[in-house]
Amino acid sequence: MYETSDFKKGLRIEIDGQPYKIVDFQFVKPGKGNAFTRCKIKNLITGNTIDRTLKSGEKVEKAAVEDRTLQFLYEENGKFHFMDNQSYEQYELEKDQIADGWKWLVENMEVGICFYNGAPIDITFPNFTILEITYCEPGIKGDTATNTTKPATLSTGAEVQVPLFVNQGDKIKIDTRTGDYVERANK
Amino acid sequence: MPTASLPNQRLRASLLSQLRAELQSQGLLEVNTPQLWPSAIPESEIDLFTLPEGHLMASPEAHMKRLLAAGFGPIYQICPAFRRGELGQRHNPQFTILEFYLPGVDDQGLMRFLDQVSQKLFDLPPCQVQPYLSAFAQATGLDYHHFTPAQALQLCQAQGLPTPAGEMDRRAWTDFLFSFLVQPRLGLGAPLFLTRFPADQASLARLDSTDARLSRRFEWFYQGLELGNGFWELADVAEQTRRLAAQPGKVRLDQGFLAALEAGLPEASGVAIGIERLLMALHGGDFKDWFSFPWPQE
Repeated sequence: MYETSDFKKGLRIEIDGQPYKIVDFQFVKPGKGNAFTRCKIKNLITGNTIDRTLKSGEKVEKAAVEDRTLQFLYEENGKFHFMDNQSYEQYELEKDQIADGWKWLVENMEVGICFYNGAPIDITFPNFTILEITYCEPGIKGDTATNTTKPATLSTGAEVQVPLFVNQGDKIKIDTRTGDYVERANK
Repeated sequence: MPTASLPNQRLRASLLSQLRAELQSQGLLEVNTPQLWPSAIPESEIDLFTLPEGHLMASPEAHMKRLLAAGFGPIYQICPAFRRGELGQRHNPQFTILEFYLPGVDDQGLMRFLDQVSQKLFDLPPCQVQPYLSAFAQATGLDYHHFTPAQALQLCQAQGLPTPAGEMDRRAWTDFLFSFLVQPRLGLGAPLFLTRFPADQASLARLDSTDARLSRRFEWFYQGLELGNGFWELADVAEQTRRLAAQPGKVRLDQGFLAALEAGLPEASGVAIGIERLLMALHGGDFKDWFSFPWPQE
């Protein structure tokens, strides 16, 4: 069981007997009143997104899903292929099941794949990943204190915002949950 | 990397020094009370962080009232406050409170004072005033004292607002409707004092002498954000004890606070203002952007 205070983006819960993933949630509370959590949840089977409100402290079941670690092999015609390194069994996910995940997927990467009744239905990434910048405007030295950013293109084709001092060719650490730049990771 | 940028830290520092200078020039004394204490004032909707030795204070109220009772006169404090389980786009389990008390002043006088400060320091337009019941009726079309849960449910369905599945008493409905339908409309353009809260939400405010269904509690809103909560303070020990007894009993009651009330709290009004909310209302950005290290939300 989860309580509303356990909620975070990506948490998988069971609502009306179906597995859902929390896409977004909003905590509201008048200063001296009852708190509520309103969440946007995505049905992991149908892909439909619905809006629900729970009283804070309310409990919900964990979704009856199984998590396994698979290796990403390749993408072909909008289908993403993964392999279980223990059984060598291969599975595929559709493009819309991957959603924004293509931004972080590189060959041989290990990711979490969620199974429901034996079929893969969802993907989760390590919280942080390191990717190379293939294009951005040249860096400005010493500018580490302001919030100004510039766009940078990654080896996967994704575009992220980075601080001005970062250079093309740098490897950077990214928070896959938010898509935010964390730090340079040149080694 | 810290979350609050250097420019935001500078805005925060400047706001705090302006507030200190202004309050000091108005004759208020800066005080310092404990953040960790063996006992507290229980409030049903505030979950305290509890250590074996005591509680982290959800506000400096109890101790500041003891200072008032001891004759300290007008006082203010800027300090951390701790509230368990409050985490979201407008909440962080640790935040900063500006709390101040004006002896000899009622809630009207306190609102006038706050309005002047906010116009002078933040260059805001004059504060509007609206009674709670009027704002509630305006936003929901419901009569606060007589609506039924069925009416509330119907309203939410008409508005496409998803409602909780569990049992909801009238108070829960009130908070639900207030959070989703009333509050987002408050203080847009100019700050707003929402006044004369219903008696069942009086908290530590005195009841209205002209209408016992109302209290002398107010809240301060700007840009749909709740910035502060104020009371014309309840000084009646018997009434205070009765209200505290109605609270659920996980918290060791601060007897020193009750003793101070018994010794006599001067007529006074007080207000608590969330500094990070104020910064967000004044300068925009996300709530978390006003914390150097906001509580992690994974």
